Amino acid sequence: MKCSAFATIAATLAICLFVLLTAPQAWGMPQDERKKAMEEKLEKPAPAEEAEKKDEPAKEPKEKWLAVKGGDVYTITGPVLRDAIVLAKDGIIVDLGRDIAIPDGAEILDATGHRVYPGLVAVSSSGLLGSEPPEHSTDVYGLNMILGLSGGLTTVVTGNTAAKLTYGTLEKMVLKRGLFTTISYSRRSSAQRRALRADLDKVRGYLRDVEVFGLRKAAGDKDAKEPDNKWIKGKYSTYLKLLKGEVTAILSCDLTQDLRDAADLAEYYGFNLVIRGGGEAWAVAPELGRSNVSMIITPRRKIRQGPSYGPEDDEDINPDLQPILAAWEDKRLLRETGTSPELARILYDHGVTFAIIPQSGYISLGGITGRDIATMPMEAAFAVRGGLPEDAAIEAITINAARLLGVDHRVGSIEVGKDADLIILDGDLLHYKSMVQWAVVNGRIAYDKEKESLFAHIRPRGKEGTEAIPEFWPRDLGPMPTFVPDVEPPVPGEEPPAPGEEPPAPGEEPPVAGEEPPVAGEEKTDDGADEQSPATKEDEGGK
Amino acid sequence: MKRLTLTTIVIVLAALLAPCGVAGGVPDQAPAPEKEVPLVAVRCGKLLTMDADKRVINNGVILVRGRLIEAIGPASDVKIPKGCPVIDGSDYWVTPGLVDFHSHVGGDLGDLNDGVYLTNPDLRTTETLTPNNEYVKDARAAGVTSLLLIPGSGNNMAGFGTIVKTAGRTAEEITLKNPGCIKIAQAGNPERWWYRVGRFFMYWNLRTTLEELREYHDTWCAYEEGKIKEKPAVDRIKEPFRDLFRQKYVAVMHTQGYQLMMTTVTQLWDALGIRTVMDHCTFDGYKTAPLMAERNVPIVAGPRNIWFDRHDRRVNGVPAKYAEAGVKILATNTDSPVLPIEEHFYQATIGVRMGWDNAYDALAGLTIIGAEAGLTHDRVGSIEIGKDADFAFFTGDPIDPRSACMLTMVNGKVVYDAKKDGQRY
Amino acid sequence: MSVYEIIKGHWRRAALMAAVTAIGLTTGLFAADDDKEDFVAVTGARIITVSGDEIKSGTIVIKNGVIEAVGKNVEIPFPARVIDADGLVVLPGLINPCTLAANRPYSRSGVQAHMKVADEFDPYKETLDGLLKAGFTTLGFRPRGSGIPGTAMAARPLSECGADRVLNPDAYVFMEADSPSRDKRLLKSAFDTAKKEIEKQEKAKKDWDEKQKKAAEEAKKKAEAEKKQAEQKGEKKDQPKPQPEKKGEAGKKDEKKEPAKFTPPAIKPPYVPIVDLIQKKEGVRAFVAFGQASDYIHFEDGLKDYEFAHDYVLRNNRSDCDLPLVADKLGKKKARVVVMPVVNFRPLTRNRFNLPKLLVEAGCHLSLRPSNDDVRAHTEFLRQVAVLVAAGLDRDAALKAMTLNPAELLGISDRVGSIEKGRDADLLFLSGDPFDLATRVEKVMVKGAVVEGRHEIQ
Repeated sequence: MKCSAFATIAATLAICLFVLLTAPQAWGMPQDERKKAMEEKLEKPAPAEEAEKKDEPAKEPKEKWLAVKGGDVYTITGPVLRDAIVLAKDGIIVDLGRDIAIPDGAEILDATGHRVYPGLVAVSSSGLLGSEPPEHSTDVYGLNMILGLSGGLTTVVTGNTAAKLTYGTLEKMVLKRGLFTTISYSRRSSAQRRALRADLDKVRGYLRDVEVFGLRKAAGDKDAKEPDNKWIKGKYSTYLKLLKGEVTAILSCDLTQDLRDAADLAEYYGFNLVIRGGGEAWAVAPELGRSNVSMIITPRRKIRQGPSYGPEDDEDINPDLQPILAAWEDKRLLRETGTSPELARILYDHGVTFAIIPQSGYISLGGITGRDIATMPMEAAFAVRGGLPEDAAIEAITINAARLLGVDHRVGSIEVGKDADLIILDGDLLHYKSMVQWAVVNGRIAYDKEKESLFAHIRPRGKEGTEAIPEFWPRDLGPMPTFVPDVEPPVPGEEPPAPGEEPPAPGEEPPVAGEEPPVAGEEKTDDGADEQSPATKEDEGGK
Repeated sequence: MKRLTLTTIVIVLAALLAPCGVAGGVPDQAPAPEKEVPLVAVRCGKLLTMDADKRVINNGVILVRGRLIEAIGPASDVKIPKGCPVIDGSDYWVTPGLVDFHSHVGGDLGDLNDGVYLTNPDLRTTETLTPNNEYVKDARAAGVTSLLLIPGSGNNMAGFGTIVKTAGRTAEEITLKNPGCIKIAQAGNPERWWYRVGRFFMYWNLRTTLEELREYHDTWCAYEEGKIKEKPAVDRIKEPFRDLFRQKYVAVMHTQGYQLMMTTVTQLWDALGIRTVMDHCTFDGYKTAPLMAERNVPIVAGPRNIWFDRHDRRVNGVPAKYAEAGVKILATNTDSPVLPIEEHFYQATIGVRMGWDNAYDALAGLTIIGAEAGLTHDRVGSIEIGKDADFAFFTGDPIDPRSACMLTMVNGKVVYDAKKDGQRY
Repeated sequence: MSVYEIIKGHWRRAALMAAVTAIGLTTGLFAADDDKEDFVAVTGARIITVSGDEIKSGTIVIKNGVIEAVGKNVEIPFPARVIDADGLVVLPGLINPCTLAANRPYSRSGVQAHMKVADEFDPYKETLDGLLKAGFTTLGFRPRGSGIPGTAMAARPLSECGADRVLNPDAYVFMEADSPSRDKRLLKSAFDTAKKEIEKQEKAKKDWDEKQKKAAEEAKKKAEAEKKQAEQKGEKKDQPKPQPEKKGEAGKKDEKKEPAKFTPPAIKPPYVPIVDLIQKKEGVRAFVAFGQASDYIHFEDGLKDYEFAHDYVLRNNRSDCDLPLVADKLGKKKARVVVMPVVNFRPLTRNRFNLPKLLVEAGCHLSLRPSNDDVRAHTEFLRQVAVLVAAGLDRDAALKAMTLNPAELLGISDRVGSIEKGRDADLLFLSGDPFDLATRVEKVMVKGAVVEGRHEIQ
């Protein structure tokens, strides 16, 4: 008995244990195991696809060659080479001439019948590249960049950086940073002028001391003390660089006195100076030429501030009007327009290096073109108007502009060793009908007029010109309404004829334009509407 | 030498003066000139007459008597009488003086959009002319010899414009045609100057005004032709508009864009029989060009010279599009001071650059078309006998910015000489 | 009588009762435990497996929420719940790899790569239900903000927490590259800092190794010296070693016995995922989001010194989208891209382009995601993709782009994304072809259980 009972209980227990072990879920315990199992699963490495996903990037060809052949090459710093080849390797011009072997695999640009110029250099611009630093903010596919290239620009200045319009890439975009340091030297603030001169004197004194120290040391003087240079920071370090010739100063002024003073300053301290504006420089060109300043000018610029009208002799002006007119005019100007169209020519005659820039540095597609940076050659053409030789005008937007910026070792002319920045036009750069057909930047074709829809329809090149999209709406507007005087008001008592009804007795019926529609069922006879509408026989009236 | 007898003197003088009297057989010469007004001769390196035959004479001569042109021809045909002052343009291209048919600089810029009502049929720019102001001097320096001074476009009907010359001391001296035009802007600017007006209202307003004026004219015509017995009342304000309907002067329309230009054609040209000259004509107005070409409506495009089509990503030249559609009377303007008046030629330059490939037509737009538009082509616009002696002398292609205007003549007198007075532009 | 006696008297009955009770318990327990061996069979459906061929009329057998067998004639085990899907089309559940739907993540800026969406997932139940109803069974919930706002999570749109919900808590590090002037510098500096951290660690390891070497050499010398001493002392070898008196010596002894573990200096937490990216740790990848062609150029330029696994999220629902300009560049490197199913106009023209099609033709690995983060966009998604297919996108590419490819991007393609043995049974039942505009979602099944359906299934 005891045995069997014990056996029963044992069996029950065994069965329960069996249940326990085989149905862990019911007891909650192996939740951890479950969790562990899941974690294991999650830690399992992701399918090993990423390693194989990215194939070896297509091997870039070792060297990229570009040959522009068949065109007349205007080198700017050398002769014009007719029917010549410009050969570039990896964005640098390696050969220039007529009998040049073009390596296999080179990209060939056939410029037969076209002219090859160096890419234009704009010494100020806005909107073509991003804000400084341009290589980290420019939209390299932007419409403004395309417009700049279509105008022949390849190098532009944004802020204080000279960079290229490298469409579609950021490689080799920046040419030079820290182009200029701005100084101010105006008659309006003599304290500021004194302060500037004092600072420059101080720095110049330091340079002199350094030189003296060097000499003394060389001579064996043991007491020679090295001049203290801890104070050379901030603006003083800039001035030091300026006086050493490592950086160029820039200032804006228009009036003769300011121009003379600026030129004197540059000459006295011996630093490189660029003057922006220079409206009255035509009057002080000899001084500017002597002091070796460079200029940035706009031939079409007028610095007259407002209208001046009335008799030419000021004494005749009504004294009440004088304050108003004085506010408009700048009596300090030597001429009413402030500038002279001959400014460029006069500067050229006196040996002043200058760059030409249009009135506005940005590009607008708002409606008026021809005055912005996309038509910079036109601005140079206006300098020719004043007597400047055409070659000098072209230099002012190519090599001289590059010289001003200090990047003429890279851009500004077509020479072996310089960057392959070229523009190919279908005519003279300064002629109004010439348009840029191709623009090459760093040896890459960055703009092709035919492939870019913007201007492809204007004097299309060869047969690849785009088809004109028909856009006229030749909708026939129908017969024109003639001028009809006022309708006679209906006589009170009579109802005006309702549309479609039989018209009332003839004589009072207002003229209708055209026939009345025939009443349904009635036949419309060929000889007109005599039976239907007596009114149509009457005078139509009106005009 | 023998003793000089009176006979000898007379013979010698007669021999010298004979060429002046030679008439017939020589082309382009008027009958015997009057003795009071002196003759001036102009030598031309290249003479672009801009006449109907499109004559270009190399090494030409123009004889000017007083204000008018008396003779034109090659130097071999037109002999310059001895003692006759000669203006030497033998290094220059000589064109008719340029005509700008949309400008606001002949007068006071401050009154540009003066108005009492949305329609001001009684205002006249002739009362605000300021001869010889700085802008006019600039115009002369660029070869512009006549301009249309109009009020601004801030009103539906802004007032009468005046066509003036760019040289003269008084308003009477400079006036070429008064009224030169009536300035009408159906939309496109008045809504910015007048509070809460829209196109419905402006079209209605203008149309009813013009219909009223038309009715006045028609009533008077009927009276004059005897159709009406009762003499209509004379309305001082409406009276000047009779000439508009007789097409003695034009209505200058500030109009642009497709819808507006179409309304101008239907409402004014067709329905009211007014000779309208379309100014501006920018944006997508060129889509109405077939209508314009059909009716030979003059188009004076500008100052906007391009339109960026944002649906096809293309930059369209404005005059180019009209020329493409076959518009014959096509010119450009500056709407100065929006663009400087001296860049009047430059509008043609850009027009050609952007696709109006016929440079001759562009130059015609600067000269004879501008005159035709304003109905002053009997006096200016081309170098033909009997017209005013308004010339511009360029160092080369007039629409090439590299060529400078070195000399300008208005009414037979030199009013700008770059070599003497300094090159102003 | 005692219990014992009762049992003694009726021991057979008692044993029988006990046995029956035990059996009852066990079967009951088993019965209560229904995911032990739960079979579901879907029959008669047109099955689009994505990873293989389409099966015109087939059967899917699901065991415990995992697909056991797929085929034309598959034996259905007993017992199984049978879902008759005759006339329906079965797809893998749709996967949206990058979305803010149904979640409200904090917006962060700067480098916050360690912040995980998995930790702050705050769902809207209605939205989750809506997403399920639209057919999406997996979503990549991304963090929000600028710079590197955090790490995304791949999860099912279930509102209850459970083992089935999260599929990958570290799906990808999300990076914004939308505005070069703002993001380029940030990304570059983030990677530079991470590199510095790695260098710091490597330097510390090097220093430690050197220290260890030196210590080992010294210990060796010392040991030799002691040995010599011991040898000199002779018999005293067997003596137990003298107890150390100084604690310092104890440390030395420890070093001798087991080398101490090198603990590298901690990496700043926000940069840990970036360090993993640079070190190409398995399973760690980044998503980079931008909308313009130029942004891509800037991104590649900014991080050109670093090689790391990254995929692209292209925001192409803008009117100024010019991404076709870089389609060939992306295709050449067989980039994996996530695109919205939109047909755009080329900016300023009347010419339309189908960006997904261009990318596929160029060679990219395409994933598609709805063009918005709301439920409506998810509901419209299939129809939008249908428009793309009608406009030229390859049908198979489109199907993959909604299912298998996003799964690969999220690192969970071994669990979801296709209908084959071993995958979770996340299925979408459609009333017709997925690219037929009249098609409606009939049922949505998650891990073998129908969670959304027009016809309720018990």
